[in-house]
Amino acid sequence: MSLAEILPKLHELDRTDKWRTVQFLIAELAQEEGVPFTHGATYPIWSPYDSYEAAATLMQVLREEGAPYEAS
Amino acid sequence: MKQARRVSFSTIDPRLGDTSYRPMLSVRLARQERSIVVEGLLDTGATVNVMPYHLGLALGARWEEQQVVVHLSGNLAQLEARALLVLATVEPFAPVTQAFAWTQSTDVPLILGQVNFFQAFDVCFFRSELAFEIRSIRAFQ
Repeated sequence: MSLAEILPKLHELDRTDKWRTVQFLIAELAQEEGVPFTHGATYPIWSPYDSYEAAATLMQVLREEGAPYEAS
Repeated sequence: MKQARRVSFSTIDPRLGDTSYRPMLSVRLARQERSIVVEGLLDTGATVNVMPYHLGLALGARWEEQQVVVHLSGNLAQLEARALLVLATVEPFAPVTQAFAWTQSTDVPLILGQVNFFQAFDVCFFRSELAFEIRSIRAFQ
């Protein structure tokens, strides 16, 4: 089936089904490209990227232990 | 110029293709009489080092004896963390003291972050070559 044959049928879809089609195609492309994401899935991000209070605490512990490699 | 060690990226699942590569570093962690070799994720965006609960236990640490509470952000904020100092060795460099936020989470990987892993080591990433180079900020040992 060619794109020219599908387009008129897609045009007839209601708004909800058009969005579903878009989501389906994105998921299909992601899978083909090897992108390990699935629509609707939850992916935890563990990186504590803004834990400045934690950083200050650990630096204080290092200082108290007399450990090297403190920030200058 | 200090000597650098070149390390290839690791892949968690070759079926995932180019997106599955990540900079993992083998590091020996030692505390008192115990030591373990683990893979740590080089995370330049992480403010601190993070150690999952089971690794702390493997190093003989006891939760109730670690008095310094560390407040983490993101997914890790919901769980308590304590400060834990260990000796870390990245071959062929000399051991360095590393401070970890020892979390109660067992899902998190060992994260090597700005405090204080990247204060002890310079790392240069070559993503196109799927490799990184690491050197100690101290003289090559």
